[in-house]
Amino acid sequence: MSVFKALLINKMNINDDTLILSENDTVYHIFDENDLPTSVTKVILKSSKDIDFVVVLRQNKKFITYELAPYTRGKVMFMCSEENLSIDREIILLEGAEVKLIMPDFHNGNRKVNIETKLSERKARAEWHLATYSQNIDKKVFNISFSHFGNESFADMHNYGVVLNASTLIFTGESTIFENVKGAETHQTARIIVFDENSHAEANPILNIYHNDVVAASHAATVGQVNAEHLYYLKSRGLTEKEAKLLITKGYLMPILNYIEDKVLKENCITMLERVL
Amino acid sequence: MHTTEREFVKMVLIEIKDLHASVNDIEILRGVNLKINRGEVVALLGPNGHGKSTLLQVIMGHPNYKVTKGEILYKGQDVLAMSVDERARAGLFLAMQNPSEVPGVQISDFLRAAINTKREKPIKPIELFRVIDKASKEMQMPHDLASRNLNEGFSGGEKKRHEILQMKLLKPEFAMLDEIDSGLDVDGIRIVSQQINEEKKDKTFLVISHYARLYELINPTRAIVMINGRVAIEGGMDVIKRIDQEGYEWIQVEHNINIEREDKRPIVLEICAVNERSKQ
Repeated sequence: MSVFKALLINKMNINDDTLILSENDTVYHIFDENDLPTSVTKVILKSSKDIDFVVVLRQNKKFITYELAPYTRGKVMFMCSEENLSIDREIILLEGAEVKLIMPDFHNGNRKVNIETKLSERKARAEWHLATYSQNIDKKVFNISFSHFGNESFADMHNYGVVLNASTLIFTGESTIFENVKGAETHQTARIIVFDENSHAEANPILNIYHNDVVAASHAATVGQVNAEHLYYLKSRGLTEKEAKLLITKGYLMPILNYIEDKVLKENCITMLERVL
Repeated sequence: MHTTEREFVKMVLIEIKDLHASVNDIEILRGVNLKINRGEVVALLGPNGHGKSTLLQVIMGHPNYKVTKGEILYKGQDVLAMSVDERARAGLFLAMQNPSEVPGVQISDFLRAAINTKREKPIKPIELFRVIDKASKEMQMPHDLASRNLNEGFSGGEKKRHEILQMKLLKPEFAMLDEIDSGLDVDGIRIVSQQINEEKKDKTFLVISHYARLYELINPTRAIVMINGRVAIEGGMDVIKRIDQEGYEWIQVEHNINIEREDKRPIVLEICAVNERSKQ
């Protein structure tokens, strides 16, 4: 059984347009954006324990901001469902907040997902991991950006994807270190495996650095077919081309599951992925 | 006459006839002729760049090598007409010189898939765990091997031991080992040679190494030397020992074979696009 429970929204926690979630709400809770009252556009996560929080992204919601209070640490996972999704979300990290943002999207459907993470104050740190596939004629576009406003802020972005059939997958990663921001560090990696002739894939890495006191900034992007040497190695052990590609794809997308401890959530992801493969 | 012919076919496991193969339009194999009998352990020697690894890769079916002429028969079957995986399932195995690191692919998933290619019923998880555990102990590999990613972050020696571990689990009839001793320390060579000796009872081997040490430990039945993309001479341990002590020069003198040097191969000069543009 999953340790995660559905979050029941307590009206006491709502202050104008802001929902404030603390210790008891942010550890092992799943939050469905459909349950959010229409007046609320901002959710504050605040906890002295490590948070482990799951957000189910929903199409019918307007712009929503998720804010991590100072020194809040932990993990936030974004889930999609089998529906088209076109959303704009903002994540704000205040002083010393440290979070792993995880998004395993193993569902069909179109996506236009814009997520901007603002490292607003000093020593805010974020890691982003996205793993997804597109198939049939689906079009999935992910615009993921990190904006460094705080000194010594850190961001590391990883977008992994597999494109099948006549589908489209586009990753745009934008990392910006603004003027007067000292000691910031930002990295991004995008990798896409293209399976079929009619598949369309793009990886657009953008780095905007407006200050020279930067610890490090890097980007890496690869779009290509399954590595021929890897394929040969697996086939030389008796695996058919199909079996070898299946194993490589699984190996490509599965590592994101290392960030999910809950057995039920993990099994769900594996089932979804295996269904496609 | 008829019976003799049949016995002969039974005895020869693999036969290579006038094999020519090239990579990037450069001919590496220039007419290899070789017969290997069932149960033999054949040592394959030769200077660098003269076609030893190419021969093994062509037998296994590496997509980069183009066979332009000749044939390879394995148990009378046309190997060149088979895909790489068909060759593996037919009983061929190549322990590679530089095994690929395949990110994210767990060894347990990989070995399960590989073992299942040779079984009618898929292996049960508990049985898979047992066979991997037993083989890891024999190869003295870490106990968490099954949960690691395929060759990812392995040391040179671990990769080589893992190749032999796969050979043990996949039980091929014809095993080709490409410089299996490179990257191995003294203990590694001892373990690997011990395993080869154990597997000799039901396998045929074709083994590339630059060093007599491995050959002394596995005691090959025959040694062949490849020069200029062909099998130049054959012999026994005496040839291996002489090469180990004197190199390949004596072959040039005694057998009247001109050994082409690697650096004599044509070099393609290309233009730096950036410089060309700046000139304009």
